[in-house]
Amino acid sequence: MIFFLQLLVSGLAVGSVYGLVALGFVLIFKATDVFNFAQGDLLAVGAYLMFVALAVFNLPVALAIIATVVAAGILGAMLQRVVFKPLQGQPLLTVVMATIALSLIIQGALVIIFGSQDLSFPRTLPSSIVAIGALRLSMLDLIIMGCSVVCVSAFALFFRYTSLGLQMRATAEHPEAAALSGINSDRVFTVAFSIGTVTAALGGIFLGSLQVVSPTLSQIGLLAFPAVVVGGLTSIPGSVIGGLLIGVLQQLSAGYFDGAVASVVVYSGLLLVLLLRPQGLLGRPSVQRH
Amino acid sequence: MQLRQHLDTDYQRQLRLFGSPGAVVVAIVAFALLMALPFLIGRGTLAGIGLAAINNALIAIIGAVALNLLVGFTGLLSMGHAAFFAVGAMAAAIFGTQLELPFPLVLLASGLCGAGIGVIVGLPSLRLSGLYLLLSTLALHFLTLYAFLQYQLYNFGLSGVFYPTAMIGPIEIGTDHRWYFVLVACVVATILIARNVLQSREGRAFVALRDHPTAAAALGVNVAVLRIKAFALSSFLVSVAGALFAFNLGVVTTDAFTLHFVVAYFAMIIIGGMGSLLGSVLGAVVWEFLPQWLASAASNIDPATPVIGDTLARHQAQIISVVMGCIIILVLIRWPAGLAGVVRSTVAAIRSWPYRS
Repeated sequence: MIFFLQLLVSGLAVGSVYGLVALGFVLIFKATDVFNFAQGDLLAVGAYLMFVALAVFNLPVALAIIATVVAAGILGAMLQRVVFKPLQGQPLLTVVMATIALSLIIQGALVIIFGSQDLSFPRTLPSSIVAIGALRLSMLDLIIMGCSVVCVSAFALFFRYTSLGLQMRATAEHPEAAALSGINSDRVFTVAFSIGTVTAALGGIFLGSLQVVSPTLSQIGLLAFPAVVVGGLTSIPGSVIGGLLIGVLQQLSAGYFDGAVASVVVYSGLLLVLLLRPQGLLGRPSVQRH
Repeated sequence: MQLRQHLDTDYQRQLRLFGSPGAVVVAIVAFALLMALPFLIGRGTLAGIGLAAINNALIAIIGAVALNLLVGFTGLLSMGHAAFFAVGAMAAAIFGTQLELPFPLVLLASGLCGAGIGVIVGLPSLRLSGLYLLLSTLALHFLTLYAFLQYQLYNFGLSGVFYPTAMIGPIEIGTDHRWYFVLVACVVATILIARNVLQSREGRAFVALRDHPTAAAALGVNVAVLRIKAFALSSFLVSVAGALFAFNLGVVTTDAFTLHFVVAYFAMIIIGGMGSLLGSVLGAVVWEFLPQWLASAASNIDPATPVIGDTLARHQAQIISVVMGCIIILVLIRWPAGLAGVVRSTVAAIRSWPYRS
């Protein structure tokens, strides 16, 4: 039972990171229709940016996080301008392929700059052990869960109450109508990419603290896809719940069996959801008119 | 919109193997060149390309044609390409290594296994489309690879699945030279099959399905059956390519079939041109040869050169992946129709000379 609870908590911690990354993913997808296969790589970029801020510039942890977030935001905006803006209105596969190409470039560039060995942050978030009865919890897990909850609520408030958030929701709902009522869709797209990259970078910081910083982080980021689909491709709360579900499922099956079984369990779950409820657990079924 | 230079005025023109006398000449010259190529190269290299690399490119052409049939012509997005390669390799191990069937029979059996799995994988496409189909095939990718890994560990162990030397009748296909001719025959067969299917009722229905599923259904195309047929045909060809790939290599592990593998094939058909057989061939050739050229260009640069020299020497694979990524994005933005589109517009410009096309 204790083993189960420990796995559950670490699953929720990893899952909240997946949820955060999935949130950025859904945001980009809703606002710009870009299905971003490079989300996992942006996560790795976030982890490396954090490493640079800590190891090269010697910033304190809090400042390093802020610097990483700002850099990631700028990177996201640049990607939108340089790569995705010229591809606007192209078919699905073209855009997907561009994001895959981006992922090739990022993976190559990271190894060229940092080498392929594992790095770890010189200073991390506090990681002491907290004991509750027989249950031993890592402070890091709790902090990550807390931070993810704060980030997700912050984004929720942003969408609900700010003018820019409203514009983004309008663009996601109906791009043409939003543009007709005077919303600068270019700006909305750029902001969406910035926020999507920032959430990926935050995920990278957290995963980098939980594990090591290495190019394989981008493959872990790939687990954001099942999270997104399970939750519903267009639902923001869905992506968070999907992330938590996938995280728990993965940690439990990795704990009771092994890592290879975990990916089978996760992707079987994905397939099941796709076949039985393609719109995801919280998504709305899309009505198509031809 | 460009006016087509030649309009087919009767059905016989559609059915002809060669569109014009010029095409016959081109085909004969191409055939002669293909047959002469291994003797021109011998044991050395031609423009930095050895025979082994050419053989890899030939296998890639089969894979690219098959993927283009599914994605480029029928419009079904599938990330299951590496999975079908793995199915082909696994079937080849069962029929070739374990049951010791003759090689041509192994190829056929692998293809049929692939087609069977393709039908199963195609089933979600009846409910899902676009992105959802892409993700369901992504899930199948991981499940198939897990199955392959278990099969490999259970029967062969960590070092990988072993394949015997391929035999056609009494002839042993042990050298790159002999492989070349076998693979050329397979490539020509694949292209002819694809070309004939595309000119049949089914093939035209594939394209209709891609362009407008509802309109296709209204014209009497059975969408469900046709999607399954497309999956079956494509995965048959991919699995044959997988079996060839496995026999050519001799030893295969699951590491061969990563998502990078899938990405590479998508890159081939995008660089070459979606929905074009010529494009599949060009894309596969460019994708296989360009890294070789890049590598040999990089090795000409002295490692002592400041800044870039050292990086070039140590991270060749990564630099190639960055360059290829940039090329994909550039092609997507500048030439969405790929190399085949460039060829087509050049031919059109020459034909209509001195008028502008």
